[in-house]
Amino acid sequence: MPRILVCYKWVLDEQDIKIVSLGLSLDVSRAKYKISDYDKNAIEEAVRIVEKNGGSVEAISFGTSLKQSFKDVLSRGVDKVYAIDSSIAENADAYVTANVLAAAIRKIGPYDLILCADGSSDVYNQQIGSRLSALLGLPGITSVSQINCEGDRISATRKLGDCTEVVHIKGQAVISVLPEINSVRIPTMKQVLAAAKKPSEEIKIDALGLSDAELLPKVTKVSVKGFVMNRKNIVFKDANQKDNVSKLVASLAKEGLLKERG
Amino acid sequence: MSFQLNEIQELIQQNTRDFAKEYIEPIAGQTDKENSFPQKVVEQLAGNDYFGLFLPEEFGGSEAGYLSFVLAVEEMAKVSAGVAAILINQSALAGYALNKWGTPDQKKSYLSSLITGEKLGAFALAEPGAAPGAGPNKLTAVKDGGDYILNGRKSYVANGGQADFYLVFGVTDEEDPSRRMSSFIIETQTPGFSVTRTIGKMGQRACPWAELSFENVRVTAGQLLGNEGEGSIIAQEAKAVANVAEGALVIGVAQAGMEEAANYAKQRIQFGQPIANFPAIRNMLAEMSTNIHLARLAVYDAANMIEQGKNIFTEAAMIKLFVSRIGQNSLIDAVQVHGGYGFSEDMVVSRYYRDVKGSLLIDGSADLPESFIAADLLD
Repeated sequence: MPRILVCYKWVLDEQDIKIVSLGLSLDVSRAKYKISDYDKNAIEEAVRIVEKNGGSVEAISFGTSLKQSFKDVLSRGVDKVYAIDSSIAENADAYVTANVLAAAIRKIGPYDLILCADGSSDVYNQQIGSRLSALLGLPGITSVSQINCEGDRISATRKLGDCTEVVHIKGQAVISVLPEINSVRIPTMKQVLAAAKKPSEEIKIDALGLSDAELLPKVTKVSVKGFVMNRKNIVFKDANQKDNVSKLVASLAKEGLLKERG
Repeated sequence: MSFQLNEIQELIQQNTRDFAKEYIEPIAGQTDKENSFPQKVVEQLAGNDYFGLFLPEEFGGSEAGYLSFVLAVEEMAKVSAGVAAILINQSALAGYALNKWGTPDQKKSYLSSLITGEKLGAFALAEPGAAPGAGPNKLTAVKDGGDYILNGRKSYVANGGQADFYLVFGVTDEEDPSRRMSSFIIETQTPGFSVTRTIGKMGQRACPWAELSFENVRVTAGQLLGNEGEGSIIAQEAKAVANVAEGALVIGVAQAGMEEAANYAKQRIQFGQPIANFPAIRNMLAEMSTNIHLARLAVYDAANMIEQGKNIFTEAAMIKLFVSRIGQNSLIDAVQVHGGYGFSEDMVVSRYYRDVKGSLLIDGSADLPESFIAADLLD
């Protein structure tokens, strides 16, 4: 019966983020946090595996304000949640995040299977699964659209552009799943209420034995700005439609959207 | 005092929003057009534990509190007021009354099956010739040995025709006005009971209305809900509690209407710019948003009072009076923002308008709450 760990990210809900028209900065003052959308698929897949094969599902996150996430995570079928809540997470890149998660997993593990989403719904770097497998010395499988477990044998289907690849592993593994792997079930009201009674544990980042270098990001975020599509609203209204078409074509060519045939 | 929702309430709100989007939204327009009963959604409501949300764990409920229930109603009403109405009639009327006045056997039999969704309940109070939800209560329940024999009709019964049992109010004592009515649990297979017709209506169409007939319907004293003569008390209190949930329904529809109007205003170009730039449109939306926010606070406050076991008759009347008007006025403006398109059935606001209109009319006219509130203040 597998012991599974799911990594999740607690991100700002993009629906609540507003773009300030002056300077295109992001106003997150009224934004709520949520479980990164794709991580819900990873949690769902872990729960489905356990429903079929027995075992247990735990979850872990590195971030800030993580306590708010516990009930949501636990209501989705997770048995226990671990949190490394630290301000270091605010500027952490994938290098730091993977170092922290790997150190914590070494502390609370071992796990038969570690599941991640292919990417997070805020930055979608697609690095955590691969980095974790390298740091933990475990096989890493990415872009997985189907998982079958039989005993300690795992069969995973990878989606690769226009083909699929089926891989088999015996023993532990880190798997990154695609959103299409499943349809996330909505927790029932009783699951929500039961979440309050499930265990959670906070892990201090200082207790992980990481060096300053391991907590120093390799990538520095310079700025985050909103993207606004400004339409030009050009109207061609000559009486002669032929002239309008010619002007439209000339205008599109000027913008670099049309090219003459070579 | 704070209306900050706790984590569980926020999760219930968010999960219900997801539930409504996934299961209710795809059928909301169709059930309205076809006047069809959303059986599958009702099963999903039961499966996700909505029917017992505030009802006791002992009978399969979740005991999450009435505010949680109200939050769920509001989220469902944003998508389908009819589905929200089914939930209110099942839980806030039939469920509340059974839980408060039912005997242990009645709770085991009816409340448990209502919570699991095995049985659908309904509240049969109004009769032909009166406003939906109100008197005049001519149906008689005459004692015959240890039994009662019911004769008469009920009308405008929500969940009617689909329900497996009805809480029926009949006259057991013509002499004493304060103890005139009693309440009975009537199962649909009881001889002499029949659904005579379904009643088409303007909005909230997913929740069916029916007219019921009772011809020498014999029930045992075990089917009496509460004590003989307690019918008026049961009806008044259950209706007040349901009124608060009905307020949440109105808020949900009004919020959805406002969001539709705001989105439309941002997209609709007139005179070379979105109509959202025009002061007349902005003022309408600002007023809608303000009114909905304030009305929501009143509903949450009353729900909170119900959780604390306080008397909410006056607050329920205020919600009936104020929130219903706010809902209707908001939808008038939401349709107005859409201009001529708002009159078209292509625009969902026309359905929202029809859905919310009933809240002023169902359970008595809007004059009743005013007289109740005034009496509380002056008499």
